[in-house]
Amino acid sequence: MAGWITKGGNGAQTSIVDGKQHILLMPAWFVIGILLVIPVLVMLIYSFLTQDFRGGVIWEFTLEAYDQFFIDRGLFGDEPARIEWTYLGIFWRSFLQALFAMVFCFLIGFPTAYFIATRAPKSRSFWLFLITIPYWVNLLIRTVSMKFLIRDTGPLNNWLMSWGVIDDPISMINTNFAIQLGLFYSYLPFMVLPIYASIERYNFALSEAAADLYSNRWTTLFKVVIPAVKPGIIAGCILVFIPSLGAFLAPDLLGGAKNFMIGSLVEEQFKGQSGDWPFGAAVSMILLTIIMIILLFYARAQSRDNNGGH
Amino acid sequence: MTDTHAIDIVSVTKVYPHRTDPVVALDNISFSIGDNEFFTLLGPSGCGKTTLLRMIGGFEDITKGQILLFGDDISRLQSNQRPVNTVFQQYALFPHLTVYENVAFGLKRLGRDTDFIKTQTHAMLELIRMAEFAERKPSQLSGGQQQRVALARALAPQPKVLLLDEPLSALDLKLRQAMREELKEIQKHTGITFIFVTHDQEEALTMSDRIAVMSNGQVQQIGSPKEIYDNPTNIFVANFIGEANILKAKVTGPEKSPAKASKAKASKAQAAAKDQVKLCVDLECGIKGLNIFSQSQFQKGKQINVMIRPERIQIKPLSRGRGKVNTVGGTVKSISYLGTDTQVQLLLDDGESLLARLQNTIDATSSFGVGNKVEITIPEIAIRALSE
Ligand SMILES: Nc1ncnc2c1ncn2[C@@H]1O[C@H](COP(=O)(O)OP(=O)(O)O)[C@@H](O)[C@H]1O
Ligand SMILES: [Mg+2]
Repeated sequence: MAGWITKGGNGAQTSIVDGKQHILLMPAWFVIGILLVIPVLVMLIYSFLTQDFRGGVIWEFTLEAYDQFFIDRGLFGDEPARIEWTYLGIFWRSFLQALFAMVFCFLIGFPTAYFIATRAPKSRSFWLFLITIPYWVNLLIRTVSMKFLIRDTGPLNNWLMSWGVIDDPISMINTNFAIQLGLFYSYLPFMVLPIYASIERYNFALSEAAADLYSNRWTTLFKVVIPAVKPGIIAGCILVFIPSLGAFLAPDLLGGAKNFMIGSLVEEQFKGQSGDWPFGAAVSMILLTIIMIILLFYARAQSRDNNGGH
Repeated sequence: MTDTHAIDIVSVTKVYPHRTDPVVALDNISFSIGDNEFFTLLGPSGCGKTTLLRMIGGFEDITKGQILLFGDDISRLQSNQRPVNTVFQQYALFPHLTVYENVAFGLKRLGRDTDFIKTQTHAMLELIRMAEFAERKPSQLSGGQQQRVALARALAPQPKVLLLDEPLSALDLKLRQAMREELKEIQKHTGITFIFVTHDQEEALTMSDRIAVMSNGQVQQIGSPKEIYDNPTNIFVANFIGEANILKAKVTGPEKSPAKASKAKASKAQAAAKDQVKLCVDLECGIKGLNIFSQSQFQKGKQINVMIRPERIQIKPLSRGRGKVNTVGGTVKSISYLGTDTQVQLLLDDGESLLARLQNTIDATSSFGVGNKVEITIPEIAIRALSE
């Protein structure tokens, strides 16, 4: 039943758009064209240009930047070509960090979203408000405050010591844990909000039907609730994973130099006189390509899901 | 008690708590439902039908009282521990599962072995004639098909009692009528006790073995469709089931000897209305000395309400003949043609209005028109005294 209602809605939309399609779509084309496609094209072109040593580029086409990323020719470029592991390593570490951030955000975000969505309608907006309050403050300031909070002489260590949980401060700054904490804190609402939206639309009669058909709480959760709100979960995961992958504030400020991530690597290339613009652009393009491939696989899986099960 | 009941509702009260005005949804109700019965809870919206059904299913806790299932108190069990299944009003099919997986869901949770799950699920799909749709998702089915899947899903685990909350209300008329037959068939075939909730009196009358008429959190009357239609106990039931004319009357004493009514007719009516007494009453509209059925005894001189169904009233053009038994004069106010019958709105000479329904038989000719004076016969055998 819900099926054909949605179809009807789509039909109506199409007929509205049909006539004045071009005019109505102008703002969208403007945003996508000017603000998205052109910058990406600029990046793509820059990644094939030659580095100018005072920052900027020289207009000579070369594959130098990609070569630098993938291939190791020794310090002076005269050794036989080998695979360059440095940058692939950074990518790999970044992926793991983003994956962990996504999982942690889900583990905390899902129960949070479920809790909010099951409050009385009037109090839901209050809880959402609470979730979003910290995000009124600039990300940089939040990340710096986090650094103060968890440093060796910071409040967190002081409390733990004064309660006698630990004897010596745990050094958390410049660890993967700190990066995780930073990413988690930065992107949690991106997980909570889409899941909340899904659960709010979830038909709780389905949970009753599951209980009626002999499911306990856990089977109801895993067999019915989670599959039914899957689109929200996937949206949340994408919204946390992708910015985490390219994040540079948390890794920079909380992770220190040795826990370099993709975001910092790119940032480095465009900063000051020592940067290498084509290389930064190439790293961005490689990251973009990987993300596109992931999303493409996801979209393929999604459409297979919708076209009549198995 | 020789056989145990499928369900016993024992002094059950339900109060929905609220800071300022708690709602008493069910007010100390008690009744029993027999095994294999098609039992219907009938009443207007808000009378507490869903609440009662949800309490039997275990989705709502009981404020006071007990619910027994084949003699065992199930009041404290979680819904997943009750051998009772529900067909939900909006079906509540699992959207991410296929028809087959939906139907097999309960059996899987019960941990039945795979062969049994397979055969039972297929048997259920055959029963609802949906075998060829096994691999579809619920969103690819019509409303009627979803309805049948919901039914199969609830029947598959072979519950002791099946609960159905207005399962047909979302279907269009044709489909609804077809599904009535089908539900009734399935109930007979499976032998499972059905507790069926509806606000549609026609649905209740055509499907049920017994009906409980509810209003305001109370049970007004329980009985077979015929009992409830023919012998409603009070004004609410009389008005809610079918159409009813309610007239004022005065009790003049116990039954007088039935001089005019034929013996055979009287004894047949007597058999239909067991547990009933007969009263002699005068109708306020002028007909006197009627012997009518009543479920309770009234004192002489008491003002009571009596009921007569519109289709039991006879109308004739005014004539001068003799032998006008149980007849009053009146005027035709309006006539509406309803296909199978014609509805006539009458104004009695004393100012009361009355509704009559005449069947449109093959040789029916309208022998009167709007504004005509007519004589109206109210057969005493069709009149029922109502309690408060
Ligand atoms: N969850 C609830 N909270 C408060 N009041 C409720 C709730 N559910 C039902 N009610 C009230 O209880 C009464 C009976 O409702 P319900 O059982 O749904 O009636 P029905 O199914 O006969 O239409 C109604 O007055 C309704 O407003
Ligand atoms: Mg209801």
